[in-house]
Amino acid sequence: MRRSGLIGLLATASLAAAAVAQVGHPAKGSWSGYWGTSDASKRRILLLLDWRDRQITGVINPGPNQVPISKADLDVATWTLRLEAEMPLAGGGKEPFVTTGQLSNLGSWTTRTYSGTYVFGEESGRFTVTLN
Amino acid sequence: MRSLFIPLLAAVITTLGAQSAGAHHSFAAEFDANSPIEIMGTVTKVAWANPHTFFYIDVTNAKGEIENWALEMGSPNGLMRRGWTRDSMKIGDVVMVAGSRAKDGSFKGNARSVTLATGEKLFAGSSQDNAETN
Repeated sequence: MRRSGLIGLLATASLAAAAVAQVGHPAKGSWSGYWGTSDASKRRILLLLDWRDRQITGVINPGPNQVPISKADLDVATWTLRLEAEMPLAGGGKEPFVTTGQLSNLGSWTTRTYSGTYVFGEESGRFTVTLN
Repeated sequence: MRSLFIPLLAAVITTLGAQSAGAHHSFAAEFDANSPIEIMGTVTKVAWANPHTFFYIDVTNAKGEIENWALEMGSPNGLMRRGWTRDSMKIGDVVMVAGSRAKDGSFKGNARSVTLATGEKLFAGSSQDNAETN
């Protein structure tokens, strides 16, 4: 009797540890980093991504001036994620902003990254964001 | 066989206890009351956890560089008693934080109060307050 109770306790503890380890979709969370044509012109970016109804949704630079992500495609064979948004220009108007990159270090809490290239209107460069 | 159960049980309890004990510490062990900070930034992450809730903000320094600060508050229960809700502070909000910096000089601090984007000022259940009243 005592033995079965102990086994139950151990099983509960193991399940609790596993439950803590569940973090949801690999893209879900807040990501921050930089984008730009060079180190000298890099700009801060904050992505807030979610996984709802089997789709990646989210916003760029959450807050009063946030930009909704209009389309997100993930190729799980290569973990290549492509995000599209209509980003406002400093002088008014909007241009398509498209990031294409790979999710890396998926097993890590602290070094999971999404990095690759972006196209913003006529401009193109590289970006890297790390899961916060 | 039975003789193995008690050491095993003790090991499980010790392991679980050590996880929360390791995260708990006194204010003076990590923070410097003589290094006050007052910083404003954009929230990048909020982690409601025991024994301390943490939130992270992007702060632009004098050189225009971004510093990501980790700020410690009280436990979720303690914050709820001080008027916080889970929606009080969201990623992307701009907040003003007053508190004390970590002794090691890293971008880490203990928050005493947080002024939210709404203008509402909430106390952060700082362990410094507890240390002063004890």
